[in-house]
Amino acid sequence: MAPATDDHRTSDPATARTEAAALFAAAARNDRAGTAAQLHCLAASAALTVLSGPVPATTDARDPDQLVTQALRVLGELEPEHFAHPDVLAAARHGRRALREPR
Amino acid sequence: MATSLGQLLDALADTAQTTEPTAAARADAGTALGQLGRALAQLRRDGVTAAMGDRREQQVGALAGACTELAARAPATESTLARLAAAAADSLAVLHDHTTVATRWAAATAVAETVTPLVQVMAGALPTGPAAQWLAEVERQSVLVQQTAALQPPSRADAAILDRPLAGPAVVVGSDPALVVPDAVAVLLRATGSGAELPSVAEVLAYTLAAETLSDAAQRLDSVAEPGAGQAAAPAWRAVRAALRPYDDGSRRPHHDAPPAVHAALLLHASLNRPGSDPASRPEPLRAAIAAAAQHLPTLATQLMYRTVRSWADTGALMAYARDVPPREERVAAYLRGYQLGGLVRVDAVDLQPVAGALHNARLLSLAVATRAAESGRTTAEFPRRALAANQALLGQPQTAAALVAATREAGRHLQLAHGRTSGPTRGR
Repeated sequence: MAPATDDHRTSDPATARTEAAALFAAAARNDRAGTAAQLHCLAASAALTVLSGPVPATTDARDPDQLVTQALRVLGELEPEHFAHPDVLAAARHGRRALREPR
Repeated sequence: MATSLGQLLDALADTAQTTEPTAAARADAGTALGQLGRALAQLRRDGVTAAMGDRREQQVGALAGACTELAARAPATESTLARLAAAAADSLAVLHDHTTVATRWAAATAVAETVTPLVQVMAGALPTGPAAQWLAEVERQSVLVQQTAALQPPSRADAAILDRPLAGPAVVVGSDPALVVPDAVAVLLRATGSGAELPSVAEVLAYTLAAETLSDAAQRLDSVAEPGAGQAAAPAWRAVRAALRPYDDGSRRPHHDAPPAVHAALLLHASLNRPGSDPASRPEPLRAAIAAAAQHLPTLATQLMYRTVRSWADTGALMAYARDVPPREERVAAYLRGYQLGGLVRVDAVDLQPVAGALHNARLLSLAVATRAAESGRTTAEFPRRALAANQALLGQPQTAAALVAATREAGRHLQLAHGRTSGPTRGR
């Protein structure tokens, strides 16, 4: 899985989906995220229908909102025709909703 | 019954997802998209970004235009989808006074999300032609707005606008407290959030009485919790009334009729203070209604602070005896006249600082009681989760913990001062 950093941007849809799914999965298991937010993150990760592989343990120390925001940014930087895919749209919708949920 | 923009949009999306794609449903969805186009056009006019001509504004405008064009080609019909969408669009107009560019972007994002299930109702069934082309354009523009929302997601505080209760009829009626409480809170938020009508002192006293009663009821939801900041909101609201004691605008007299908002406040107070009713044995629907209504107490305090008190200060609408407000050199003569007509002075922002301070404390302590109320029991599907999330985000800010301790202490001090004044020479009100 490609590392997720601010200066790393990819236009490859498969890589972006894998990266975003891993970030959503990490947010979903983060203890600092509220239950509803965890469920949205889980749904977002599942919607991307990729095998995200092992989630790096380093992400556990990060704020879940940061993980979700970064996952959304990864998806948002896709080409519009790739972002328009129903799976990606659904994942982004769940991600945005996770950011609106109580902690 | 009070509702909210978020509830209307959620209901619209849910209904669209469960609707059979018949010809009538497609026509209904087309009309509904026209209503959402109206809502988006309103948001675009009011502005969704601070900078003119920003990409977000252009995209929201383009989506609004595409929805309107599509609706113009749909059969004229109106059923559940169109009615829900029309209500959502109307509610945005009602919320106009309470929105900022950031909250409008949050609303535009939520509306764009709702476009997708409506498009799916119509997808694949339109004959080739202008309507099908406009449907494709609606879908394309909706995706663009959602993509930008992924890059610039609204904050929790901004998304709380979706949960702001919208009052139904102006006059709250009914006897079931579980119905009275949400309706009354919606009326109070409208009364204190309007820039057109400035509440009088007497009206604000009634509103703060309702806020105190609601805070007290919310505090009692969590009967086993340790006393803390979440238990001090009711005294903080009482301290607001105490801080208002020196001020008058002529409204402190018997009134034959109560304005609708005062009626709502008094009805809320009476509903939660029925003789013989035990707060510990309140039914679950009422407990849920109290927990939900408590989420809006911080907004009520904010509006009273930044709209009402600021307007009082700006317009000089209030009078007070010079002896009851912070002393100033230029008021020595009025001070020496004591509690006589010549001792009255027109109050300004400096004089009103104790009221603003008391409201600041009430807001902070209401944040604490609101979050504790949400943790104390089950929440219903209508629970304002986004408002709770915004309250939690504010409460979680690093500087808030120290401010809460100070607010608890200040609320107690305000009350002690008020008790001291009662027995002193101050003119009673």
